[in-house]
Amino acid sequence: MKIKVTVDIFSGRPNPAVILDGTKAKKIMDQLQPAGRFKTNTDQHAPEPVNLGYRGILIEQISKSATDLPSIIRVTPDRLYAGDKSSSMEDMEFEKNVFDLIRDFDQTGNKKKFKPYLNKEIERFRIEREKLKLIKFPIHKILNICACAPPHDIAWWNDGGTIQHGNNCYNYSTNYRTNTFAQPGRSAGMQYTSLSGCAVAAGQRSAKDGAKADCLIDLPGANNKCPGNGHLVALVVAPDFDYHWYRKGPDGKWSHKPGPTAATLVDNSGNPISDPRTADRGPYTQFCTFMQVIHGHIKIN
Amino acid sequence: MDTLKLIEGTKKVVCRVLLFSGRKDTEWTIEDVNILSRIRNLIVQAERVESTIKNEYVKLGYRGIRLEYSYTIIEIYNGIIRGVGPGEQSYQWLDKNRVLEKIIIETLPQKHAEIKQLIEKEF
Repeated sequence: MKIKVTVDIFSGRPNPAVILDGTKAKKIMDQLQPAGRFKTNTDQHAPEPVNLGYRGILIEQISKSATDLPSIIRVTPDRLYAGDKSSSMEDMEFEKNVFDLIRDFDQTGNKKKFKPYLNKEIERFRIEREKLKLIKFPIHKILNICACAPPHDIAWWNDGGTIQHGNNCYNYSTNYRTNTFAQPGRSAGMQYTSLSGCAVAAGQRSAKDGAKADCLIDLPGANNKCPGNGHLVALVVAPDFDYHWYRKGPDGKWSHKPGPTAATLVDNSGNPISDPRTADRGPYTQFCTFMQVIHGHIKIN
Repeated sequence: MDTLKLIEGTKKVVCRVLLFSGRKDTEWTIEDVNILSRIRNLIVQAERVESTIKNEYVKLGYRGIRLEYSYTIIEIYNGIIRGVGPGEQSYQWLDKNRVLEKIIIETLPQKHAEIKQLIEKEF
Protein backbone atom coordinates (compact mmCIF):
# COMPACT_ATOMS: atom_id res chain seq x y z
CA MET A 1 0.00 0.00 0.00
CA LYS A 2 1.27 3.45 -0.87
CA ILE A 3 -0.47 6.70 -0.03
CA LYS A 4 0.19 10.39 -0.48
CA VAL A 5 -0.69 12.60 2.48
CA THR A 6 -1.07 16.32 1.77
CA VAL A 7 -1.75 19.15 4.17
CA ASP A 8 -4.10 21.36 2.13
CA ILE A 9 -3.14 24.83 3.34
CA PHE A 10 -1.43 26.87 0.63
CA SER A 11 -2.88 28.53 -2.44
CA GLY A 12 0.05 29.50 -4.67
CA ARG A 13 2.84 27.29 -3.31
CA PRO A 14 2.66 23.49 -3.58
CA ASN A 15 1.16 22.02 -0.42
CA PRO A 16 3.32 20.10 2.09
CA ALA A 17 3.09 16.39 1.26
CA VAL A 18 4.64 13.05 2.03
CA ILE A 19 4.40 9.63 0.43
CA LEU A 20 4.06 6.76 2.88
CA ASP A 21 4.08 3.05 2.32
CA GLY A 22 4.20 -0.13 4.35
CA THR A 23 3.20 0.01 7.97
CA LYS A 24 3.09 3.81 8.11
CA ALA A 25 0.56 3.91 5.29
CA LYS A 26 -1.47 1.09 6.79
CA LYS A 27 -1.57 2.81 10.16
CA ILE A 28 -2.98 5.97 8.59
CA MET A 29 -5.58 4.07 6.59
CA ASP A 30 -6.63 2.02 9.60
CA GLN A 31 -7.35 5.24 11.48
CA LEU A 32 -9.46 6.54 8.64
CA GLN A 33 -12.79 5.11 9.66
CA PRO A 34 -15.93 6.88 8.48
CA ALA A 35 -18.80 6.81 10.94
CA GLY A 36 -21.19 5.89 8.16
CA ARG A 37 -21.27 5.39 4.41
CA PHE A 38 -20.49 8.23 2.03
CA LYS A 39 -23.58 10.11 0.91
CA THR A 40 -24.11 13.08 -1.41
CA ASN A 41 -23.20 16.10 0.63
CA THR A 42 -26.22 18.36 0.98
CA ASP A 43 -25.49 19.73 4.45
CA GLN A 44 -24.92 23.44 3.90
CA HIS A 45 -23.55 23.73 7.41
CA ALA A 46 -20.64 21.49 6.53
CA PRO A 47 -19.71 22.02 2.87
CA GLU A 48 -16.36 20.81 1.57
CA PRO A 49 -13.89 23.53 2.63
CA VAL A 50 -12.87 25.91 -0.13
CA ASN A 51 -11.48 28.68 2.08
CA LEU A 52 -8.03 30.22 2.02
CA GLY A 53 -5.76 28.77 4.68
CA TYR A 54 -6.02 25.31 6.20
CA ARG A 55 -8.63 23.14 4.48
CA GLY A 56 -7.89 19.67 5.86
CA ILE A 57 -5.70 16.71 4.96
CA LEU A 58 -5.86 14.96 1.61
CA ILE A 59 -5.27 11.21 1.58
CA GLU A 60 -4.63 9.72 -1.84
CA GLN A 61 -4.25 5.99 -2.33
CA ILE A 62 -1.55 5.80 -4.96
CA SER A 63 -1.32 2.05 -5.38
CA LYS A 64 -2.98 -1.12 -4.38
CA SER A 65 -6.13 0.24 -2.87
CA ALA A 66 -6.68 -2.19 -0.04
CA THR A 67 -9.77 -0.53 1.33
CA ASP A 68 -13.30 0.21 0.20
CA LEU A 69 -12.65 3.89 0.73
CA PRO A 70 -12.59 6.35 -2.19
CA SER A 71 -9.14 6.82 -3.73
CA ILE A 72 -8.92 10.51 -2.68
CA ILE A 73 -10.37 11.70 0.63
CA ARG A 74 -10.28 15.07 2.33
CA VAL A 75 -10.14 14.74 6.10
CA THR A 76 -11.40 17.54 8.34
CA PRO A 77 -11.84 17.36 12.12
CA ASP A 78 -15.36 16.02 11.91
CA ARG A 79 -16.00 14.94 8.35
CA LEU A 80 -14.55 13.11 5.36
CA TYR A 81 -15.13 14.33 1.81
CA ALA A 82 -14.78 12.48 -1.50
CA GLY A 83 -16.01 14.16 -4.66
CA ASP A 84 -19.54 15.36 -3.98
CA LYS A 85 -20.01 12.86 -1.15
CA SER A 86 -19.14 13.02 2.50
CA SER A 87 -19.33 11.08 5.73
CA SER A 88 -18.95 12.06 9.36
CA MET A 89 -15.90 10.83 11.23
CA GLU A 90 -15.42 10.06 14.88
CA ASP A 91 -11.66 9.84 15.29
CA MET A 92 -10.71 13.35 16.42
CA GLU A 93 -7.09 12.25 16.85
CA PHE A 94 -6.51 11.61 13.19
CA GLU A 95 -5.16 15.05 12.37
CA LYS A 96 -2.87 15.00 15.38
CA ASN A 97 -1.42 11.65 14.35
CA VAL A 98 -0.72 12.96 10.88
CA PHE A 99 0.89 16.10 12.19
CA ASP A 100 3.18 13.99 14.36
CA LEU A 101 4.75 12.98 11.03
CA ILE A 102 5.21 16.55 9.86
CA ARG A 103 9.01 16.29 9.96
CA ASP A 104 8.72 13.85 7.04
CA PHE A 105 6.72 16.24 4.85
CA ASP A 106 8.25 18.02 1.86
CA GLN A 107 7.48 21.61 0.87
CA THR A 108 6.76 22.90 4.35
CA GLY A 109 9.50 25.53 4.07
CA ASN A 110 11.10 26.32 7.40
CA LYS A 111 9.65 23.60 9.67
CA LYS A 112 10.12 25.64 12.85
CA LYS A 113 7.98 28.38 11.39
CA PHE A 114 5.54 26.05 9.67
CA LYS A 115 4.42 24.17 12.80
CA PRO A 116 3.07 27.20 14.70
CA TYR A 117 1.57 28.53 11.47
CA LEU A 118 -0.23 25.24 10.94
CA ASN A 119 -1.50 25.12 14.54
CA LYS A 120 -2.84 28.66 14.24
CA GLU A 121 -4.52 27.84 10.95
CA ILE A 122 -6.15 24.71 12.32
CA GLU A 123 -7.60 26.69 15.21
CA ARG A 124 -8.91 29.36 12.83
CA PHE A 125 -10.42 26.65 10.63
CA ARG A 126 -12.25 25.06 13.58
CA ILE A 127 -13.69 28.42 14.66
CA GLU A 128 -14.86 29.25 11.13
CA ARG A 129 -16.53 25.85 10.74
CA GLU A 130 -18.33 26.28 14.05
CA LYS A 131 -19.60 29.68 12.93
CA LEU A 132 -20.95 28.07 9.76
CA LYS A 133 -23.16 25.81 11.84
CA LEU A 134 -24.92 28.85 13.28
CA ILE A 135 -25.91 30.30 9.90
CA LYS A 136 -29.49 29.82 8.79
CA PHE A 137 -29.67 28.76 5.15
CA PRO A 138 -30.43 29.68 2.48
CA ILE A 139 -28.95 33.15 3.00
CA HIS A 140 -29.99 34.53 -0.40
CA LYS A 141 -33.65 33.77 0.32
CA ILE A 142 -33.54 35.50 3.70
CA LEU A 143 -31.91 38.66 2.36
CA ASN A 144 -33.60 38.44 -1.04
CA ILE A 145 -30.37 39.10 -2.89
CA CYS A 146 -28.38 37.58 -5.69
CA ALA A 147 -25.19 37.02 -3.79
CA CYS A 148 -23.09 36.01 -6.79
CA ALA A 149 -24.20 38.84 -9.08
CA PRO A 150 -21.77 41.67 -9.84
CA PRO A 151 -22.67 45.08 -8.40
CA HIS A 152 -24.18 47.48 -10.92
CA ASP A 153 -20.99 49.57 -10.84
CA ILE A 154 -22.33 51.95 -13.48
CA ALA A 155 -19.97 54.83 -12.66
CA TRP A 156 -17.04 52.64 -13.67
CA TRP A 157 -18.59 51.84 -17.04
CA ASN A 158 -19.74 55.44 -17.63
CA ASP A 159 -16.29 57.00 -17.95
CA GLY A 160 -17.19 59.02 -21.03
CA GLY A 161 -14.19 57.43 -22.75
CA THR A 162 -12.93 54.08 -23.92
CA ILE A 163 -14.82 51.95 -21.43
CA GLN A 164 -18.17 53.56 -22.10
CA HIS A 165 -17.89 53.90 -25.86
CA GLY A 166 -16.09 50.63 -26.58
CA ASN A 167 -18.46 48.39 -24.66
CA ASN A 168 -22.13 47.67 -25.32
CA CYS A 169 -25.06 45.97 -23.63
CA TYR A 170 -23.51 42.52 -24.14
CA ASN A 171 -20.26 43.60 -22.46
CA TYR A 172 -22.09 45.20 -19.58
CA SER A 173 -24.57 42.41 -19.00
CA THR A 174 -21.87 39.76 -18.93
CA ASN A 175 -19.64 42.09 -16.88
CA TYR A 176 -16.89 41.46 -19.41
CA ARG A 177 -15.05 44.45 -20.80
CA THR A 178 -13.47 43.89 -24.21
CA ASN A 179 -13.48 47.44 -25.67
CA THR A 180 -14.60 45.79 -28.93
CA PHE A 181 -18.38 46.26 -28.76
CA ALA A 182 -18.72 42.51 -28.28
CA GLN A 183 -21.17 40.55 -30.41
CA PRO A 184 -22.87 37.30 -29.33
CA GLY A 185 -20.99 34.34 -30.80
CA ARG A 186 -18.16 36.31 -32.40
CA SER A 187 -15.57 35.00 -29.97
CA ALA A 188 -16.54 31.42 -30.85
CA GLY A 189 -16.72 32.10 -34.59
CA MET A 190 -20.51 31.66 -34.36
CA GLN A 191 -21.84 35.21 -34.47
CA TYR A 192 -25.59 35.60 -35.00
CA THR A 193 -26.70 35.86 -38.62
CA SER A 194 -30.26 37.08 -38.11
CA LEU A 195 -32.03 39.48 -35.78
CA SER A 196 -35.48 38.82 -37.18
CA GLY A 197 -36.68 37.86 -33.72
CA CYS A 198 -35.94 35.62 -30.76
CA ALA A 199 -36.38 32.60 -33.01
CA VAL A 200 -34.89 32.71 -36.47
CA ALA A 201 -35.31 30.72 -39.67
CA ALA A 202 -33.67 27.33 -40.04
CA GLY A 203 -30.06 27.68 -41.08
CA GLN A 204 -29.77 31.08 -39.39
CA ARG A 205 -28.21 31.86 -36.00
CA SER A 206 -30.03 34.05 -33.48
CA ALA A 207 -28.43 36.30 -30.86
CA LYS A 208 -29.25 33.61 -28.31
CA ASP A 209 -27.47 30.97 -30.41
CA GLY A 210 -24.44 33.25 -30.52
CA ALA A 211 -24.52 33.76 -26.76
CA LYS A 212 -24.74 30.02 -26.19
CA ALA A 213 -21.65 29.60 -28.36
CA ASP A 214 -19.93 32.05 -25.98
CA CYS A 215 -20.87 29.67 -23.14
CA LEU A 216 -23.80 31.59 -21.68
CA ILE A 217 -26.40 29.11 -20.45
CA ASP A 218 -29.99 29.37 -21.61
CA LEU A 219 -32.40 29.46 -18.65
CA PRO A 220 -35.80 30.08 -20.22
CA GLY A 221 -37.53 28.98 -17.03
CA ALA A 222 -35.48 31.14 -14.67
CA ASN A 223 -38.52 33.32 -14.06
CA ASN A 224 -36.41 36.24 -12.80
CA LYS A 225 -34.78 34.08 -10.08
CA CYS A 226 -31.05 34.23 -9.43
CA PRO A 227 -29.12 31.16 -10.50
CA GLY A 228 -27.14 29.38 -7.79
CA ASN A 229 -23.90 30.23 -9.54
CA GLY A 230 -22.92 33.33 -11.51
CA HIS A 231 -25.56 35.86 -12.45
CA LEU A 232 -28.70 36.24 -14.54
CA VAL A 233 -28.94 38.20 -17.78
CA ALA A 234 -31.89 38.74 -20.09
CA LEU A 235 -32.02 38.98 -23.89
CA VAL A 236 -34.56 41.07 -25.80
CA VAL A 237 -34.86 41.85 -29.49
CA ALA A 238 -36.01 44.75 -31.65
CA PRO A 239 -37.13 42.55 -34.54
CA ASP A 240 -35.03 42.97 -37.69
CA PHE A 241 -32.89 45.68 -36.13
CA ASP A 242 -31.06 44.90 -32.94
CA TYR A 243 -30.83 42.97 -29.71
CA HIS A 244 -30.32 44.15 -26.13
CA TRP A 245 -29.21 42.68 -22.80
CA TYR A 246 -29.99 43.39 -19.13
CA ARG A 247 -28.22 42.07 -16.04
CA LYS A 248 -29.59 41.35 -12.58
CA GLY A 249 -27.60 42.86 -9.72
CA PRO A 250 -26.97 41.68 -6.16
CA ASP A 251 -29.93 43.75 -4.95
CA GLY A 252 -32.26 41.88 -7.28
CA LYS A 253 -32.75 44.93 -9.52
CA TRP A 254 -31.75 45.02 -13.18
CA SER A 255 -29.47 47.43 -15.02
CA HIS A 256 -28.39 47.80 -18.64
CA LYS A 257 -26.24 49.77 -21.05
CA PRO A 258 -27.76 50.95 -24.34
CA GLY A 259 -24.86 50.56 -26.77
CA PRO A 260 -22.15 53.20 -26.24
CA THR A 261 -24.54 55.20 -24.08
CA ALA A 262 -24.13 55.27 -20.32
CA ALA A 263 -25.24 52.28 -18.24
CA THR A 264 -28.40 52.91 -16.26
CA LEU A 265 -30.58 51.49 -13.51
CA VAL A 266 -33.86 52.59 -15.07
CA ASP A 267 -36.01 51.69 -18.06
CA ASN A 268 -37.28 53.97 -20.86
CA SER A 269 -39.94 55.36 -18.53
CA GLY A 270 -37.36 56.19 -15.88
CA ASN A 271 -38.48 53.42 -13.53
CA PRO A 272 -36.22 50.96 -11.67
CA ILE A 273 -36.30 47.56 -13.34
CA SER A 274 -37.53 44.71 -11.20
CA ASP A 275 -38.25 42.44 -14.16
CA PRO A 276 -37.08 43.07 -17.73
CA ARG A 277 -40.14 41.23 -19.06
CA THR A 278 -42.35 44.06 -17.84
CA ALA A 279 -39.94 47.00 -18.20
CA ASP A 280 -40.43 49.75 -20.78
CA ARG A 281 -38.01 48.51 -23.42
CA GLY A 282 -38.75 50.96 -26.24
CA PRO A 283 -38.38 49.21 -29.59
CA TYR A 284 -37.06 45.96 -28.07
CA THR A 285 -40.49 44.42 -28.03
CA GLN A 286 -39.62 40.72 -27.93
CA PHE A 287 -38.46 39.20 -24.67
CA CYS A 288 -36.37 36.16 -25.63
CA THR A 289 -34.97 34.45 -22.58
CA PHE A 290 -33.06 34.59 -19.34
CA MET A 291 -29.50 33.28 -19.45
CA GLN A 292 -26.88 32.42 -16.86
CA VAL A 293 -23.37 33.87 -16.88
CA ILE A 294 -20.89 31.82 -14.90
CA HIS A 295 -17.92 34.03 -14.18
CA GLY A 296 -14.78 32.71 -15.80
CA HIS A 297 -16.61 30.32 -18.11
CA ILE A 298 -17.70 32.70 -20.83
CA LYS A 299 -15.56 34.22 -23.57
CA ILE A 300 -16.88 37.13 -25.59
CA ASN A 301 -15.42 39.48 -28.14
CA MET B 1 -12.85 78.34 -25.08
CA ASP B 2 -15.71 76.01 -25.91
CA THR B 3 -14.51 72.64 -27.08
CA LEU B 4 -17.31 72.87 -29.63
CA LYS B 5 -15.50 75.65 -31.41
CA LEU B 6 -12.72 73.29 -32.42
CA ILE B 7 -14.92 72.48 -35.37
CA GLU B 8 -13.87 75.76 -36.96
CA GLY B 9 -10.72 74.24 -38.42
CA THR B 10 -11.95 70.76 -39.21
CA LYS B 11 -12.49 69.44 -42.72
CA LYS B 12 -14.18 66.19 -41.79
CA VAL B 13 -16.83 65.16 -39.26
CA VAL B 14 -17.58 61.57 -38.35
CA CYS B 15 -21.27 61.06 -37.58
CA ARG B 16 -23.04 58.20 -35.86
CA VAL B 17 -26.72 57.58 -35.25
CA LEU B 18 -27.29 56.61 -31.62
CA LEU B 19 -29.96 53.99 -32.12
CA PHE B 20 -28.80 50.45 -31.47
CA SER B 21 -27.66 48.78 -28.30
CA GLY B 22 -26.02 45.52 -29.33
CA ARG B 23 -25.16 46.18 -32.96
CA LYS B 24 -22.72 48.87 -34.01
CA ASP B 25 -24.52 52.04 -34.92
CA THR B 26 -24.58 53.42 -38.44
CA GLU B 27 -21.57 55.66 -39.07
CA TRP B 28 -20.73 57.98 -41.94
CA THR B 29 -18.50 60.94 -42.70
CA ILE B 30 -19.36 64.46 -43.81
CA GLU B 31 -16.74 66.13 -45.97
CA ASP B 32 -18.93 68.25 -48.23
CA VAL B 33 -17.64 71.79 -47.74
CA ASN B 34 -21.05 73.44 -47.99
CA ILE B 35 -22.72 71.15 -45.46
CA LEU B 36 -19.71 71.39 -43.16
CA SER B 37 -19.93 75.15 -43.35
CA ARG B 38 -23.61 75.10 -42.27
CA ILE B 39 -22.85 72.72 -39.43
CA ARG B 40 -19.87 74.85 -38.33
CA ASN B 41 -21.95 77.99 -38.30
CA LEU B 42 -24.71 76.40 -36.24
CA ILE B 43 -22.26 74.96 -33.75
CA VAL B 44 -20.14 78.08 -33.21
CA GLN B 45 -23.26 80.19 -32.79
CA ALA B 46 -24.97 77.75 -30.41
CA GLU B 47 -26.01 79.27 -27.10
CA ARG B 48 -24.29 77.77 -24.09
CA VAL B 49 -26.45 76.75 -21.13
CA GLU B 50 -25.89 75.07 -17.77
CA SER B 51 -25.87 71.30 -17.93
CA THR B 52 -28.91 69.41 -16.76
CA ILE B 53 -29.00 65.67 -16.43
CA LYS B 54 -31.87 64.24 -18.41
CA ASN B 55 -32.85 60.63 -18.47
CA GLU B 56 -33.94 60.96 -22.08
CA TYR B 57 -30.32 60.63 -23.21
CA VAL B 58 -30.01 57.24 -21.55
CA LYS B 59 -32.69 55.05 -23.04
CA LEU B 60 -33.29 52.38 -25.61
CA GLY B 61 -34.10 53.46 -29.15
CA TYR B 62 -33.12 56.68 -30.92
CA ARG B 63 -30.87 58.84 -28.73
CA GLY B 64 -29.60 61.40 -31.19
CA ILE B 65 -26.53 61.89 -33.36
CA ARG B 66 -22.92 61.73 -32.27
CA LEU B 67 -20.29 63.85 -33.98
CA GLU B 68 -16.57 63.34 -33.68
CA TYR B 69 -14.03 65.90 -34.84
CA SER B 70 -10.68 67.21 -33.63
CA TYR B 71 -10.68 64.85 -30.62
CA THR B 72 -14.06 66.22 -29.58
CA ILE B 73 -17.19 64.12 -29.15
CA ILE B 74 -20.59 65.78 -29.01
CA GLU B 75 -24.12 64.43 -29.09
CA ILE B 76 -27.10 66.25 -30.49
CA TYR B 77 -30.60 65.25 -29.45
CA ASN B 78 -33.93 66.95 -28.99
CA GLY B 79 -32.66 70.53 -28.99
CA ILE B 80 -29.54 70.00 -26.93
CA ILE B 81 -25.89 69.67 -27.91
CA ARG B 82 -23.80 67.95 -25.26
CA GLY B 83 -20.11 67.31 -24.84
CA VAL B 84 -19.75 63.65 -23.90
CA GLY B 85 -16.01 63.06 -23.75
CA PRO B 86 -14.15 62.87 -20.43
CA GLY B 87 -14.30 66.26 -18.70
CA GLU B 88 -16.62 67.73 -21.32
CA GLN B 89 -19.93 67.12 -19.64
CA SER B 90 -20.31 70.35 -17.65
CA TYR B 91 -21.98 72.47 -20.33
CA GLN B 92 -24.57 72.10 -22.99
CA TRP B 93 -25.59 74.18 -25.97
CA LEU B 94 -28.96 74.75 -27.57
CA ASP B 95 -29.93 73.36 -30.96
CA LYS B 96 -32.95 75.53 -31.58
CA ASN B 97 -35.78 73.72 -33.40
CA ARG B 98 -33.46 70.75 -33.78
CA VAL B 99 -32.08 72.36 -36.94
CA LEU B 100 -28.58 70.97 -36.55
CA GLU B 101 -29.84 67.49 -35.79
CA LYS B 102 -32.06 67.52 -38.89
CA ILE B 103 -29.30 68.79 -41.18
CA ILE B 104 -27.01 66.00 -40.09
CA ILE B 105 -29.69 63.34 -40.52
CA GLU B 106 -30.28 64.62 -44.05
CA THR B 107 -26.70 63.69 -44.89
CA LEU B 108 -27.25 60.00 -44.10
CA PRO B 109 -26.14 58.06 -47.17
CA GLN B 110 -28.91 56.54 -49.30
CA LYS B 111 -27.91 53.00 -48.34
CA HIS B 112 -29.12 53.80 -44.81
CA ALA B 113 -32.57 54.95 -45.95
CA GLU B 114 -34.23 52.47 -43.61
CA ILE B 115 -32.45 53.99 -40.59
CA LYS B 116 -33.38 57.47 -41.77
CA GLN B 117 -37.04 56.48 -41.93
CA LEU B 118 -36.90 55.14 -38.40
CA ILE B 119 -35.34 58.34 -37.06
CA GLU B 120 -37.68 60.65 -38.88
CA LYS B 121 -40.58 59.18 -36.87
CA GLU B 122 -39.02 60.96 -33.91
CA PHE B 123 -39.61 64.43 -35.35
